[in-house]
Order: sequence, then C-alpha cells, then structure tokens
Amino acid sequence: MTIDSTAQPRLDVKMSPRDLINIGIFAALYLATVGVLNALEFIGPLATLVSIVVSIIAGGVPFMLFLTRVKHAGMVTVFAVIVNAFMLLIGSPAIALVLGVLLALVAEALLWLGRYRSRKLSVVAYAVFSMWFAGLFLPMFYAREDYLSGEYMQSMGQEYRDALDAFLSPGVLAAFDLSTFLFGLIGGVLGLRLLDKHFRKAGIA
Amino acid sequence: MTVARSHTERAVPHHVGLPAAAGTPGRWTMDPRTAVALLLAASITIMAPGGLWFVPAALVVGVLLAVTERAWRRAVVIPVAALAAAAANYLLPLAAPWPVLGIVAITAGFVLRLIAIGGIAAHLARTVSPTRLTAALRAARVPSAFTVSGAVLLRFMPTIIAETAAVWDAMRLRGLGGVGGMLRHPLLAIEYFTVPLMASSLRSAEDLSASALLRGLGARKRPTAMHPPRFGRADLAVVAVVAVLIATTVVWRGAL
Repeated sequence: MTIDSTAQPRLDVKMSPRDLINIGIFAALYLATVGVLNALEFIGPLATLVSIVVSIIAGGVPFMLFLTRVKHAGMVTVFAVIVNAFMLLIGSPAIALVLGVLLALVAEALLWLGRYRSRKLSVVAYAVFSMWFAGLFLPMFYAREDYLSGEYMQSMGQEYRDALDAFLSPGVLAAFDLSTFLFGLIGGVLGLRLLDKHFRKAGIA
Repeated sequence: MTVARSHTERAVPHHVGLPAAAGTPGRWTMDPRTAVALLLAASITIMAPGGLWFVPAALVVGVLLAVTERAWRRAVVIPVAALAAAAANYLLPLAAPWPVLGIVAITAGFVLRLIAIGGIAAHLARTVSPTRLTAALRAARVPSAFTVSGAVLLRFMPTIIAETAAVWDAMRLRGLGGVGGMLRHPLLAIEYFTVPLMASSLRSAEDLSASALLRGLGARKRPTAMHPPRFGRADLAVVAVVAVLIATTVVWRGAL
C-alpha cells in the first residue's frame, strides 16, 4: 500500500543509476532532518534525550517517502550504510556502524517479507532501522570507566559517583536503547500519515 | 544543478575567489584517500575507550590543517572551543557537587571529542570536492553503489541545508519555530518542518539527478578522472606528522 503509486518492486538487487541517486538524495534529507533537530541537544543534557526522541520521530517522514521510491532489494541497506558511514566520519563510535548495518539488514528482510508493499511491515522496518541511535550510547556500556572514573569524578566523593552511576545504570541505558524502537514506530506511523495527507496529493509519493 | 552550485559556493566563501583550490589539487594537496583515512582513524581512536588521550594530537592536526588551508578563523576557533569544553569537563564538577553539573561535565567531555574530530572533518569538507572524493573512493575499490549514492549525498547536502534554513525562518516568521513551539506541539512542529523541506528539496533533486544522469553518473563504463588521485609529498608529510603525534601521545601517556 505504501508503494501502491509505483510499479511492483522487483526483488532483485540490480540498482539503476537513478535508484542510487534517489538513495543519496533521501539519505541527505534524512540526515538533515535528524541533524537539525539534534542540534537542540546543545541546550543541555536533558535536551539530548528529548532531541533524539524528536529526531527519531521526524526521521520517519523522509524514510517513509524513501520507501515509495524503493524498486529493488538492497536499497535500504545501501541507504543505511551511507547514513552510518557519514555518522562515523563526523564522530559516532565505530560500533554504531556495525549495529546500523545489522539493523538495516533486518529492516530489509522485514520489507522483503511484505514484498516492499506492506504498510505495517514498513513501520516496523523503520522502527528497527532507527535503533541505530542506540549505537551512539553503546560506549556507555563498554567504556563506563572512561566516563565515570576521570580525575574530576574522583574529586566528587563516593556518594556523588554512586548517585550518577545509579542514574546512568545499565538498566536505564538499556531501557533508553529499547525505547528507540518504540519512538521509531511512532515516527513510522507519522511518516505514513503525512504521506497520505500531503505527499500523495502533491504527487511526490 | 544550477541551484545546488550556487549554494555550494555560498557555503565556501573563501573559495569563490580561487576556484582552483577546490577543483584542481595543487602539489601540496593531500590525496583524498589520505584525508578520509586520517579522519576515520581519528574518529575511531578518539571514540574508543581511552580515546581522550588522543584528543590533543587530533587538535594539533586540525589546527595544522586549518593553517595550511589559510582558514585562520578555524585555526583559532578549534583550540578555543576545545579549551572551553575541557574546562567544563574538568573544572565544573570541582565548583559544586551537584549531579546536574556532573552530567554537564560528561556532555562537555563528549563535545571535546567531537571538536577534535570536527576540526579534521571541516578540512575534508572544505578542501575535497565530491568529484575528487568519488574518484579517490573509486581508486580505493569501493563498490559503485556506495560511491555514487555517497557522492550524491555530499553534493546535495548544501542545498538541503539552505532549504532547511529557509523553512526554519518561515516557521519563525509565523511564530511556529523555536524550541518553545517544538515542545508545545512536537508532532505538529515536525509536520510543519519536514513537509515543506521534503517538497522543496525534491524539486531541486529532480534537476540534480537529471543533470547527473546526463553527465554519465553511474554509467556502466569505468569513469576516468580529470585529476587522477595520486599520493604525493603532502601525504608523506601528513603521515610523518601524525606518526610523531601518536608517538608523543604514547610516551606522554606512559610518563603519567
């Protein structure tokens, strides 16, 4: 249904130059949408969490519009690779790239199951794809010491360190990472709604 | 295409006078492959555990690159911003034992790492044109699915950023923009922001893709480059400087 305005997508991986250009254009749109809203994070630490939630939801709009242009299997994977490679170049941890590509493969598989036409599966696929945001916080798991035991932390006293450690506990972080999936679902639904409300009418979906 | 071109040039004001700087590589220009490798190495090391040790080295590289490019403002901004972030990271928690300040300090530590990487990334963005980057990636045997779409991504970014600014201004004019509006009606704000952005960007995207296809982007035949990427003495100099900086960092870390 998402793809109903275009011809039946072919399930092979032969991408034409036009497909590759579309991937680049929508990747740029996705990064701009996510990046602009993420700039809010410099207001403060709490805003970081809020801005990531807003980015995930807003990113659903370009992503869902991108899916209407997908004509071959593998386009979502290429999309994810260049988005995550760009993020790696501007300083996201290397593990985020690995996570992002794995998630994209899962998303691609989900879309393929729905023959790239299922509305429900495309929402779930966006939610899976947007879990790459969790990759940005993975260093908090394997490099906790770096964050919590610097000299400045030593000077703060045990009580304070325990409080911060408890606040940023693995449980809280894991819950935040998993919540990216939930916000991804909201973003996917919003993207579909805007697709129906605006883009289809304007003839660009 | 014409639209995108003008935005690119507006984004790179100090290159308007000397188009040669962005287009044709001089004898002392780093090969794009070296630049990408340098940026990747910096990004991966600094974001890895213990990466804070390599921040000074990356800052020195960023400032040196800015100086070679004669981007004096960046050469000053990088160390000043880094010092401010470092001060927030190390001194703020000493001021008062509030958990809020601790979180600000952690964020500042993260921003410090980003500044160190951003200095090198800014040099890459300002000096390597998408054409040269694509030629270099092709020479490095990256599959064309990634080089073509990646080149379009980089080429299109300035256009979208200009469109974003226009949409943002229009929203502010109608009293919808800003952080306040965002928090009051987040879903509506997202709609007002993304829909015009997509619509106007996709219109210029049509021109861009038509022009790119006409010029043979993604053609079956392997394209040749006007200036084939070659490693030269600039690359040797960069490798030497980076080796010295890494050695210094390792010795310094061992001494402490």
